[in-house]
Order: sequence, then C-alpha cells, then structure tokens
Amino acid sequence: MTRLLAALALALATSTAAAQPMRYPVIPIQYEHLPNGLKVVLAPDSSASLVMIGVYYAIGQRTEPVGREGFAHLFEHLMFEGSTNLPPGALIRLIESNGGTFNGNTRFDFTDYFEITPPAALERMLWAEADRMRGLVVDDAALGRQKAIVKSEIRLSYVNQPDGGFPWLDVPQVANRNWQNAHDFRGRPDEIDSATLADARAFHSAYYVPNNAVLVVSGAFRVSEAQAWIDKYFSEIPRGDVVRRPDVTEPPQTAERRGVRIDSLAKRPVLAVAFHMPPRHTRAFWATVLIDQLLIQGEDSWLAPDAVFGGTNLQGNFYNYEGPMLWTIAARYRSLDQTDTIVRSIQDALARLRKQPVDSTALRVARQKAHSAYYDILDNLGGFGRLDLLASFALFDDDPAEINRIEASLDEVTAADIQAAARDYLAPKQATIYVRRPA
Amino acid sequence: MCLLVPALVVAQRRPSVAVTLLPFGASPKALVRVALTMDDDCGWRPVLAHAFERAGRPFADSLAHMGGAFAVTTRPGRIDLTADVLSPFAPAAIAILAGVVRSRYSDLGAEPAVPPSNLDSTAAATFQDALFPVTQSGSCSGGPPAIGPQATRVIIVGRFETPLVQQAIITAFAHWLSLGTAVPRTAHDPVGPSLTFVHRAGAKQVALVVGAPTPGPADSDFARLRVMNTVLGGGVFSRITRNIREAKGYAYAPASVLVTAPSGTTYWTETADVAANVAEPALSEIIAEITRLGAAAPDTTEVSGAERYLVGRSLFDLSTRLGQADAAELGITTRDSPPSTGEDVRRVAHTYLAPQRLTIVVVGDTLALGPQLAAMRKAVSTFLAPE
Repeated sequence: MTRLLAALALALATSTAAAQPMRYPVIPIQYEHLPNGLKVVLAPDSSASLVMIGVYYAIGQRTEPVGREGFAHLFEHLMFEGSTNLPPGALIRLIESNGGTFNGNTRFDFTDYFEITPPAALERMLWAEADRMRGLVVDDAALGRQKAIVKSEIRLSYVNQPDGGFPWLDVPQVANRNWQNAHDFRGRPDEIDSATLADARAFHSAYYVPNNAVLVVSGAFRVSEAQAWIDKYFSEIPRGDVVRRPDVTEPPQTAERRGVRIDSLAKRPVLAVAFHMPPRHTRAFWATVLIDQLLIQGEDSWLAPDAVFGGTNLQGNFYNYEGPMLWTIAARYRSLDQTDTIVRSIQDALARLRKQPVDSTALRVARQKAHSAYYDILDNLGGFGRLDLLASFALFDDDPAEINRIEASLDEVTAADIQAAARDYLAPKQATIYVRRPA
Repeated sequence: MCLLVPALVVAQRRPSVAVTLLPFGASPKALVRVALTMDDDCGWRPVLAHAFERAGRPFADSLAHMGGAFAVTTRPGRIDLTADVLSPFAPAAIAILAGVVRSRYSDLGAEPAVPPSNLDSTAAATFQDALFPVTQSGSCSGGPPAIGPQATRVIIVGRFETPLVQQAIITAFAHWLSLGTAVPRTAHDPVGPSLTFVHRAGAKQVALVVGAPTPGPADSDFARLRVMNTVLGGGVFSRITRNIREAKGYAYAPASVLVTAPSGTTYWTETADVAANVAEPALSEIIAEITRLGAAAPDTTEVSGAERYLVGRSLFDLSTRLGQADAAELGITTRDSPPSTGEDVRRVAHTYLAPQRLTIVVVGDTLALGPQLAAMRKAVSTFLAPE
C-alpha cells in the first residue's frame, strides 16, 4: 500500500498537469534617489500586518579595508551603542518597547540594520535610523563592550565549536586569491582589540553616508506618510565623500585548488567542493540556480545519497550579493578514507551534466523547486526576505524591480543552458576541494 | 493585551479529526501539518517520531519534487508531521501525511534511541527529563499511547484551493477509526532546586538551562508570566541579557521562553551558552536576576514596554505559515487580558520561579570546570536559603 501511494505521489509530482504554475504577485515598488544620494525603496504589502524598515550600507565583510579583518562586523555592533539622540541602550529599548524585533547583519557586500514593528511605530523607527546614519556617538566604554561581545561571538560560534564556520568562512579563504574575498571575515581577536575610537569614527564617516546606502520600507504602511517622514528625517543628512569600492575581481581559475585544516574539536571529517559562480544576470547564472536544485537541494537531488548540503552565498542566497561568489557542495561523513569516494561522486554528477542535456522532467522539477526556494527566501522572517532582495537590487543594480523578473528568468532556463553552465563553470580544474578533519 | 489571530476556518470531520484551513500570505505555497497531541509519561514520543520519519522516507522524493520536505518535530505534548509544498500540491501532501500517520504502528519497535549530539540539545533533553521524568511503573507496559482522530488536527496554511483541500482531507481521514484516548501528562511537583551536571569531555564551553513549570494559557496568571518572561530574559533589552551579554560579555545569545503544550502544560526556561571559565558567574547572575525580580516590582515603564513588545512579537510570530500553524495548534485565540502591574510581575516571578521550583542543568567538561562546580552548588544553595 505504501509502495503504491509513493509511486502515485511521484507520478503526480512530476506530471505537467498537476502543477499549473502559480506565481508570486507582482510587488509594487516606488523607487527614488534623495538629493543626498540615499536610495529609497517603498514596497507596500496589503497582506502584511507589520511594517519592516531596512537600511543597507554598501560596506560588507569582503569590502572592508585591507588590514582591518573583522572590522565591518565589529562596526555593525557599534551601531547599536549610541547616536546623537540615542544614548547606549536607548535604541534597543525604543524598538522593543514599540513592539519591534530587530537585528543587524554583516554580509559579503553590505551591512544591514532592520526593524520589524507594528505600523504605528514606523515614524519612530525612521527617526532612529536617520539618527544613527547622521552620527555615531560612542566612547571607549562602548567600544570595549562591543569588542568583548564580538570576541565572545567568535569564541562561542566558531572557535569552540566543532566545524565552526564551516563551510562559509573557511572555503573562500582557499578558493579565492584576492584578499578582499579570501581574508578571515570574522577577524582575529588581536585585530579587534586594536580598533580605536578614531578608527570607528573614520569608518562611519567613510561608509555610513546616505550616498552609500539604501532605505527600504516594506509591509503595512501608507506610502505618502512614509515619504513625508523619510523626507523629514533623512533628506538633511549631508552627502559623504564618494565611496570607492575596492577591486574584488578574482583571476580565472585554471587548476584545481586544495586545502586541509585540522579541527581539534571535530569527531568526524567534513569536506567542501566549491566552484566560482557565473556572473550575475547571465544565462549561466540562472542555469546554476537550477543545477543547485538538481544536485544538492532536497531529498530528490542527485547527490542526496551522499548527504550533501550547501548552496551559493552561504550567508544569504543567490540574489543578495555582488561580485565573485562560490557555489559550494559540502558533506559530513564518517571517516577520511571516504573522501575520494565522495569527491568522485560529486565530479561524476557534474560530468553527467556536461555530457548531455537533462531531460524535460528533470528540468521541470528543478524549476519547480527553484521557484519554491525563491518563495521561501521572500517569506524569510515573515517577509523580511522580500525587503532584503529589494535592498540588494537597489544597492547593486540601482534597480529594485529586478525582484519582479526573477521568476521569468527561472522559467527561461533551458537544458542547453544547464549543459553549457556545467561545461563552462563546473569543470574539474575549476574546483576547490577543502577538507577539515579531526586531529 | 490582545493577541491578534486571523479568522480561522474550522471544521470537524468525522470521526473527529479537527481541521483548520488558514488562507494566508502571498507566496503560492501551502503548509500542510498533521498535528498529534501526544502527552505521555512513558517516553514513547521520540520512538513514535522515529517511526513516522521512517514511514515518510518513501515519500521524500515526491515531496521534494513538490517544493517541500517531510519533517517530523517533537515538542512538549505533541508530534507534528509537516510538509510546506507548492500550492497545487497541497492535496497530494495531505494524502501523503495521512498515509504516514496511519501506517506508523506497522513499523514500530526497532527504533534506536538517538542520543542528543551537542551541548545545547543535551542540556535541553536533560532538562526535559528532569521536569517530566519517564514513569518506570507498570503503567508503561501496555505499548504506545493511542493515536487517533480525536488527538489529531489537520492544519493547512497558505494559498490553496479550498474545495480540493477539503476533499483531500475527507478522503484521507474519513475512515480513520479511533484508537482510544491519549492521557495528558503534567509536570511533577517540583522539589528542588534540582542541579544536574552532565559531563562532556573536552567541551570548551558550557550550556546552561534554568527553568521551572508554570501555569499554562488557561490560567489567569499566564499573561503576567509572559510579561515577566519579557522583563527577565525574553527580549534583547531584558534584564538577564543586558547583564550577561551586554554588561559582562559572558554569553552571545542568552534567551528565555515560555513553552506550552497543547494540553496546557507549560514551563519557563532561560538558556545560555557560555565559555567554560565563566560558567559559574553566568549561572550566578541568572539566579541573581531571578531573585531581584521576585523581590522588587519593576517600574511602570519597564512593564508597559514589555507589554508593547509582546503585542508586536505576537504579530511577528504570526507572520509566517509556520507561526500560523503553531498558533492554530495551540489554540491561541483573540482575547483581552488586563494590563499587568509591576507587582503582578514581581509576584509571578516570586511564586513560580521560587528556588524550590527550579531545575538547573549544566552541560560541559565538568573535570575542567574544577572549583566552579562547588561554587555553582553554593550559589544554588544560597539561593535556596537567602539570608
């Protein structure tokens, strides 16, 4: 009986008739640049009961200055310590006592700050974000406090954990050659300790300026009210100097790269096989989104028997980065002598993609899954994912409406695109193989 | 205070599977959940969960094709079978989950016990065992507790075709016969404080859990307990978090929660992962904050801020398909509660987090902790008999 039901379910899941595509509604977007350079995206959502406010600065862990490993992350913490009208602790108290949830994140190409609150708190949140964009007011005590918290985060989340930071933190250091992409994003405790108040103020002046930022309001709000408040609180913030993005390009990879690290806390090995992603907005890029689904996402993926996991931009997703990125296949396994078998299994799956086009059923299922994964991204944190993509496309492409073209791009991928992407970007010489093993 | 929950479409299908259909959100996905009320004193819940996981494996490919995955989760008093699939596949997912639920007895018995693998899960499991000890009496000899329609709720959240989904539920569950009535269980009367150390050789950090059973949502003190939890450890601006994260840097993400089972069984916990060298001071500070709140009423600003935070947090929790399903399963309804006063908050902290009610679990390398072990015992005993 179970076998019969399973067979019926599988037939249904792969049939063309069953899944008449339903799509995400077009997201209404109002987009403008304030005279001081601040990009503003307004995306009301009539189905939402909360409003989300996000401020994204185009300074991330990859673009932090040379010699300042981990500083972008430390600075993210400092932004909660105090501004002109908000002494230490006041911002968090303001958000929570207005029913809000908040966070900040340091990612490859940006640092974000967001609040998710009842609609009545929107003006207060905009005022607070403008206050900390206008100026940071911190002292040595605040800096010391946040240094301790950041070092505690590093210790508790990475140093003291088996497999801590694997693979998102380790693999870029082996696969990349440009320091911007290959340094230790979390930073070393001694470098974190060396940061001074002058450094912090200089960092704010250089990067936390309106012409290096995007403000997004998404969810339950009135556009006219939001526009008036944004004009009131943000438009007078002075434009900063032009922010020059460092060169983050990677030289082409012409031979396989390998790396090994001993993990004294680990009980079993882990491995990663990584490839450089095709450039964004290309057919090869969209084909790789589907290849990810075919090979490693879900119990039906080709490499599921090897218990693999991974994806692209392991601190985010396919859509919220700019510049070089890795597509990573990772696996946890029992003993080191299985390493070559697992690597061979991965290479065989990629060779199969290169050898012939996938059949129409595999293509349809991969596309189905890619759409589903995209909806999960949008729905993350009750719709915060939607804000995150709007901010990313505004920040990187000056075009938040790109979000409304993603599903069409997924639908346009052909079997030939997949074969070409595997051939051009996923060849053995383009692989980085990294093993982290117990002592 | 008012908990806002969208209107529920609720129906009863013979022979009494409860059904909740919740149109929700913009994404063309539907979360399908079969929720089983599963209070038992005999430790069957994890065994049954593993049986369900095994019964679901033949369908893993199909559900993945549908844009979802099969998940079995166990929480206090419940087992949930969930698949979050693309909308057109909601009826098929209902049929699959129904098949899994109804097949589980045929695959029971050889399920291995899977021990917790990391410090946090070990601490949580140890805490659960201490708070809800498994009965060793003859009452456990009769096999697993009954699972049947009367202990089952089918919940669909998202975008879906209502007639198709209703028909799928009727087809899948209409002929499911009752197997008996599950017996609710409750936490034992706490005698404590109970302090349990679990040794994990080589662990560089320590997982701390401090908690106690509390009244559930049906009790008039529950709303006050939620405010108390927010003041004490539930928000980033809470007292324990400000103390051991912001002021002292002992922990990165300490947090407290109130956990409720469908039966109403409820407990409060504060959890914190800390470096081994500060385990004792971190535990002492947690206990000190509990003591302070039980001794002196917080001011109006702190209490009203916590209440506003809870309103927003409730909306946030309901902003996902998963959150909507949880709310439907636990029967959260729109209801007004009178505002809490500072004295209310002090009283519930003093009453329900009294020393003799606390269960404390410390997981780490107890050999490396050395003198901290004695200091922790002393801190707890001092708490029990304050000067």
